[in-house]
Amino acid sequence: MSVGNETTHRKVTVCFGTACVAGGAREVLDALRREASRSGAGLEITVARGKCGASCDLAPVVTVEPGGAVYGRVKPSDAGEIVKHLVGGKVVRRLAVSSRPGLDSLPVLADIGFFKNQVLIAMRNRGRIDAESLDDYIANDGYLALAKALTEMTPEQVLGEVKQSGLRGRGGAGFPTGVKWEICRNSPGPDGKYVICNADEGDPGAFMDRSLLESDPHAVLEGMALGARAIGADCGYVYVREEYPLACERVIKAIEVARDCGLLGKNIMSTDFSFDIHVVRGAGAFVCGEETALMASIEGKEGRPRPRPPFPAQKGLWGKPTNINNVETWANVAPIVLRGGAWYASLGTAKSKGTKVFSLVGKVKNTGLIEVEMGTTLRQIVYDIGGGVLKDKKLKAVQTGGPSGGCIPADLIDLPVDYEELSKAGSIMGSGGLIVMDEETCMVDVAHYFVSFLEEESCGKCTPCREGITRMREILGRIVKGEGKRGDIELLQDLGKVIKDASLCGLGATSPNPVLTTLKYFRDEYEAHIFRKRCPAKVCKALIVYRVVAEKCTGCQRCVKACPVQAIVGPRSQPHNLDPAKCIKCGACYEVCKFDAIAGDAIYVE
Amino acid sequence: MTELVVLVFERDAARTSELDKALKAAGYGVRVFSDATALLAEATQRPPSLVVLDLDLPHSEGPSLLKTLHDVAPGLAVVTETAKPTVEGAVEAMRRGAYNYISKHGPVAHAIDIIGRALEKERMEIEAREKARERKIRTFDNPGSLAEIDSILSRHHYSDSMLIAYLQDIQKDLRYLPQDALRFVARRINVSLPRLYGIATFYKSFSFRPRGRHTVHVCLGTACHVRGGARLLESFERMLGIPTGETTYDDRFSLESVRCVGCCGLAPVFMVDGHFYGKMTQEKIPQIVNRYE
Repeated sequence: MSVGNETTHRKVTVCFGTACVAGGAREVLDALRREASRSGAGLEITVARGKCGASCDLAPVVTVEPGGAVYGRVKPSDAGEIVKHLVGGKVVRRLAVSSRPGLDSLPVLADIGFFKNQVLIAMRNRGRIDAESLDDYIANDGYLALAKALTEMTPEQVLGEVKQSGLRGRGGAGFPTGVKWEICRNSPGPDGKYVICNADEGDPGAFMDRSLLESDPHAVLEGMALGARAIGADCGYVYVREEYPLACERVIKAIEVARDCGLLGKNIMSTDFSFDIHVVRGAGAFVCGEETALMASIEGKEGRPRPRPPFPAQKGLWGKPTNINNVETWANVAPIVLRGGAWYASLGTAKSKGTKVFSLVGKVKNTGLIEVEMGTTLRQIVYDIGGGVLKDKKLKAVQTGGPSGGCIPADLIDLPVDYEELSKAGSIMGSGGLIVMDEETCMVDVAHYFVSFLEEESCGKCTPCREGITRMREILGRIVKGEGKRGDIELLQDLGKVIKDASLCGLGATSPNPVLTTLKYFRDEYEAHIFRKRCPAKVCKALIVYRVVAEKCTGCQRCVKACPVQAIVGPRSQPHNLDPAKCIKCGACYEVCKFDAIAGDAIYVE
Repeated sequence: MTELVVLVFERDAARTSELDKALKAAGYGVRVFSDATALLAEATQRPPSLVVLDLDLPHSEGPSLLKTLHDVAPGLAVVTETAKPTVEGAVEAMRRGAYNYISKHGPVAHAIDIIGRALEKERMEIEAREKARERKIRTFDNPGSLAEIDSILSRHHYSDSMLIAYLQDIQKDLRYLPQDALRFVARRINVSLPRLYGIATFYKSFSFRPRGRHTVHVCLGTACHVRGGARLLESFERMLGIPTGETTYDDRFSLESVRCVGCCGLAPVFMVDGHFYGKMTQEKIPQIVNRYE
């Protein structure tokens, strides 16, 4: 959309993603509406809710058209100034998101480092449309691919484009989507077939599925309709995690609107193609992201995986051929059908085509969702897009692939990110969480964290996963408590191998990855815990001691107030005393001293 | 104090008047019935505290009436009586959910004693409910809750593939899954109670105990973990004085941990009643907690 400066039309968009709503986007929107109606004389000002721009660190984010200026961390009280910008063109420099300090011209989306290195396909409408407006979606080529598929293409041609594109499952395993569709298409299904959208995004640290569903639900629905057309399915399900209430609400709404407009339901666009979609809410079980467990859950049973074959494509939901893809995979389908498989295949690396959405989080300056071409290096992602490590500390590792993934050490920073390279490094693509870890992150603690997560989420059906993970957690639990023994490392490696080989489903088979990769790259940290009883990153409580550095302490008493057990005493303006016998190592004093107190860093951890 | 009402459905006139007198003397409200339809209507409209049911009805109507009573009022205490007590009869009655099985030939004081014990349990439950109401907790409560649950079931056409959705909706309404509600659902859509329990215990979002007025969810996703999420959770445990998964004594807060709420850009994050608080430190917790009464 291009609106020249000479027109009287002004548009201000407030991001309505989860982080922005959490940061007060609703209040900002209301304030902008009030201000615009008061002082927008002679101008046509539209105040709109926007799609998630995924730069969550800046929440709430406001974009101004024309010009595309971006304001971050906006408060309701800033509304007046922003409306003045709309009226008089005066930029509110104080709020402008700048790519580098001292930048003269006003930053626009395309300039900012975080945005400029990205290639948007799945997130093509980011920041551009109102998630609840079908008109906005259609105005940005929405449902054009479906129209093309239904009027100009045969189902075989739709399948052909997806196969040619080289698109692979974005949920984690990376199975070629076109091949999956073809198997399902060729399975006899006299009683109908199903397509399912897996939105049970359980990997901690990944939230692209949530963002896509919340901010562009029609992109997913259109992809599903195209898949159904290619496969010959007439019914679809979206299985959403219940922790995502807003995603659930928006998908349900989008389905209703699409139905009303004849884009879902019987005889779509007056053709002989009929297809409808239902929404099912999950109930808090990580294993339901596994496809056979997910189908059991839709059928109203406990979500426990079952052995394959038969594969879902042969015998899936209620025994009928079923095709399951993840949210991001579905969101990629419409552009592929519209622009051709060859175009998509021209992006990316030899075996991993197109783009991938990552959630870049952890100890990094710019957090948020990013979409980059496959093969982009970790360095580009962490430094060019992410702006580097928080407080310019030293990068230690990047964790990828959620609890089933691994930790890539800082030496491998030039690794091009695609399915093959990540698995060569011992990790996996997973759903695309990239968690940046710095020198203050303990790798043994991280391994313990993931294994505890998996222990809790194991469904308990097969022994290697149920018992093996529990034993691994016990060993790691001992190590972080300083009770590690000689031989623990070897035992962990042995256990990991057995669990990998003998587990029933993907959850178990990949569960040792966090332990094995940290052992491979950070064995010295394990050894420090076991033999020297030290935690080099100063995280593991049992192995650290807090003390006050008398020379640095100004006696501001903030830590005295913050301490929940009165372990710190001392009169004002004199160095405080910390009683190690009382200290519960909660870190409250460290937090206030580090960020707010006058002294800064007077609480020392060793 | 609510009056405890006993419905007596008895064929034997002498026994009826004996029971009527003794129950009234013990301080209970008594209503006597000789017609099954009238009894059922009363039990539906004004659920009593207990029913004394004669099993010696013609055409072995007694046992089936017991089942029907439980259909209209799940959890109702029913003391069954018979003039021809047998071991088989006792087993059958207990299996059908009777509270007790007594002989009419026994002294009436024995019957009153048994009824008294059943009503003591009922009285305690009523008291607990009243206390809960004072503390503004919604509890399972006949027949209003049953009607609500039934409307939830009918929304999904009583289909047994929607079990998870039923439990979610009931939990949303009542903030937990009361045992009686599960029994009712099992009977109404004809699935076994173990199957329902299987689902309710497999998925993490279900709780068998009432939750507090406000629920704190502390995110322990990876991004929150590396930015100190676990320290926030410990801080909440100390402040509220409860371990994760529990509810404070005054029912003000329930504390839960959650594996990633998908808000990693704002780590560490916690939610109170679905409202997000991002980039949190331990120091900020007290002032936020104080906003919730």
